[in-house]
Amino acid sequence: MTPLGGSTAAGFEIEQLLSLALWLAGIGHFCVLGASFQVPARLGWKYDLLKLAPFNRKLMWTYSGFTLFTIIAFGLLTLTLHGELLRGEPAALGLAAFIGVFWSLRLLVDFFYFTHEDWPAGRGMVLGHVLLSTLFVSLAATYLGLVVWHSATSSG
Amino acid sequence: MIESYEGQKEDVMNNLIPYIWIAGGVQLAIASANVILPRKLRYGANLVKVDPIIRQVFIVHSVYIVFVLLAFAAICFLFAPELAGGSTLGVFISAWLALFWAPRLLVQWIYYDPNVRRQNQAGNWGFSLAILYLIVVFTVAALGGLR
Repeated sequence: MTPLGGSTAAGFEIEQLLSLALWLAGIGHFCVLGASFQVPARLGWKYDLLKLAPFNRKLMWTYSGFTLFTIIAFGLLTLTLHGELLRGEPAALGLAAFIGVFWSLRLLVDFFYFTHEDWPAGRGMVLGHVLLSTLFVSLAATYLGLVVWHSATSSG
Repeated sequence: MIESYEGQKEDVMNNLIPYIWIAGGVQLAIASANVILPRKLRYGANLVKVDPIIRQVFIVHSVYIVFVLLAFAAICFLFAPELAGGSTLGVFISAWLALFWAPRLLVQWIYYDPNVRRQNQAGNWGFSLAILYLIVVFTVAALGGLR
């Protein structure tokens, strides 16, 4: 079996692929934002959240705001720390594992917790859901793939 | 002269490491506090009034915030020397953590209901001081690396 790593042709190709995947993942986070900004209007938060106690309503907006900020940070950190991630610096790999698990959990939530019937109807929503799920899979695969690749090359 | 400045800078950054470990503990404590919030703020009774999808999004966001805080704590415990080290990686991650916590303090004092703050004075001051500590430590780590 050919060991993975930058010193082999296969390793070089994987590194090139991961490099491209990381650039796309950085940009991908901003595509997720595009969908996130539509959620309050599409799900009618303005009217539905009025049924909550004021503090819980504010808490919902705060949680959502900080989740958005986290996604923005993931995108920016991926683009600015591209070299460190690709070189497999320990803290960068820790960050990659965090982002990879973040998106893997989001996928599990989508498959096992959210129920399809609860989502607003319409072809646009179905298409959006499929595209978002594909993006989540790609993000999880990129970051966890990077961690696995570096683990394999450092132990091999 | 330059060597002496670099040496002093390295000392400051090394001295920062225990404070970053403490920051990890502070973030663990904040994550733990989130566990008692659902009962204290009566999430159950409140969330039955909204659409199921909104209820689900609320719960997912709550759990995700706890997950993010636990990850922040892990980053502080595992990579404190990197965060304090002044590398590009350390500067960016420290700046990210400082920028994450700075608006949280404003939310606490400007956005949240003053009545809730008054009814929970100990919690309010505890949270505020904890967040202030995090902002200071991560800002120093980020700026120290930039100098």
